[in-house]
This record gives sequence, structure tokens and C-alpha cells, in this order.
Amino acid sequence: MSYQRKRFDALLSELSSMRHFVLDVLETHNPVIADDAKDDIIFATNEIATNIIEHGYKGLSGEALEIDVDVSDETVTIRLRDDAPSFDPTNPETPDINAPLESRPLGKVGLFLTVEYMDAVRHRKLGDKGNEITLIKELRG
Amino acid sequence: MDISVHESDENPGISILKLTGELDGSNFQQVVDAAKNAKADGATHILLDMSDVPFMGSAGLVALHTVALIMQEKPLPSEDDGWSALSKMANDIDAGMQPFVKILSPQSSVERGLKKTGMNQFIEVFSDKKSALAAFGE
Repeated sequence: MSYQRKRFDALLSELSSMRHFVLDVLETHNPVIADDAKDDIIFATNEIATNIIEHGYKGLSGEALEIDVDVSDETVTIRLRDDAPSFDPTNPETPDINAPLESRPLGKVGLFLTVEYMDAVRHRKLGDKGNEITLIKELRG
Repeated sequence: MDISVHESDENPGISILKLTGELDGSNFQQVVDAAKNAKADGATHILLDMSDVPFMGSAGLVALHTVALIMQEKPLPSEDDGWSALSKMANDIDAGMQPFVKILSPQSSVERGLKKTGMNQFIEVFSDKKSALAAFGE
């Protein structure tokens, strides 16, 4: 298994860099990953990162998010970590008294598709503040 | 993202918007604004050339849906609509193909997203420009 971690400024303008980081790790450590699987992983990473930036941090500047990429022959695991107030995007209907109501349609479409594209999407609260979202894609065939 | 706009020589009234670059939450509004401007300039139909768009996130899907609503002169979802806006998109997709906006040559990853969401049942997709332009007349 290969593992890489990178920290990014939590800005929409950094989404492209985040996607390319994930793609580079995938292609370096498992060059035979099917294009469909790569597309799904990059899409889901993009959506969760967007959600963190726009809703977790409410678009505020000066924040960061961290992306871990674990690649094996069987599985790709992406973990995105932030320091935002706790919000579980895997269950957007669950009220969270510490976060504003999820209101933008943008985030909802992305979250819906993320769950469709990945084999598992999990949320974990990190202490008093912060979230870790884990995306898992099983590589088949 | 770069967006170039020109009117079809063969079909006045059809604006061709060529998008170049990745389409995500940072720039999807540019596509919507370009469509609004094209309509304000007299366009009755829009062909979105996506041949040079290697990635499209969900923001891009929202942009495509919004462009179609603009050209249909239907109300646009507001930011407060939340999950109902997603339902509205799904309802519009279920209602079938609209005639005002078409997509040209999406790359494979983008086309997968269009198919996965059913957006290709709402906005027709073509692999060649001539066929796309001709289809507007049908």
C-alpha cells in the first residue's frame, strides 16, 4: 500500500490542485486503475473538498484541509480532514446545531453523487472541532 | 475557465459557447453568466462545446441545468431552495429533452457524469457539430 498526505489552503481556487494531487498519487502507485474508478475517486474528492470549503468553513479564507491518499491493488482510500465545526455530509438531513442549515443546492447534488460513486463514505468528528471524511473505492477487475 | 462565444454562421440565433478547462465550484458561475449574456444578445439556442473540458464537478451539472432554465425562460432555483432544488433538477430531467440547449463532444469522464445523473436525457449530447446544429431545427 502507498500513502501520501498533502495540506491545501481551503479555497475553491485550490480544487484543481487537490484533484491533480489525488490523480498523480493514483497513477503513480497503481497505474492500472481503470479510468472509471479514477474519475469516481477524483469527483468524490472534489465534492467533499468543495463542501468543506463552502459549508464547513463558509468560504472563509485562511483555513486549510488535508488530504490523505492510500492506494493498494484492491482499494483506494481518501481521507479529507478539516478544522471546521462538526458537520456530517454523509447524512445532510441530520440537524447539527453547530452548523448552519445546508442550503445551497450545489452541495446537495455533489453529496448525492459522491455516495453513488464511492463504495463507502464515512464521517468522523475530530475532538471538539474538525471532521474527517473517508471515501473508499474498491477496485474490481 | 475560458469561454468563447460566437454565433453559428449557418444558424443565426444559435450561440456556440466553447468551454476550455476544468469546471468546478470555482468557476461554474462563469458558464451561467455567459449563457445569460448570450440570451441578452439575442441567442435563442445554445450549443455548449465541452470538447476541452477534462473535468466537471457537480457545480458543472448545476450550471448546465441553469443554462437550460435560462434559455427556457423558467425561474432559476434560489440558493435557499436546498434539497428542493435537487428535486427540481430531477423533475426537469424526468420531464425529458428540452430543445434550447445541446452539448457537443463531452470527454468520457464528463459524459459519464451526464449519463449517471440522467442529464443526457434533458440536454441532448452530440459528438459532431454539424449534427448538433441540425438538431436544433428539429
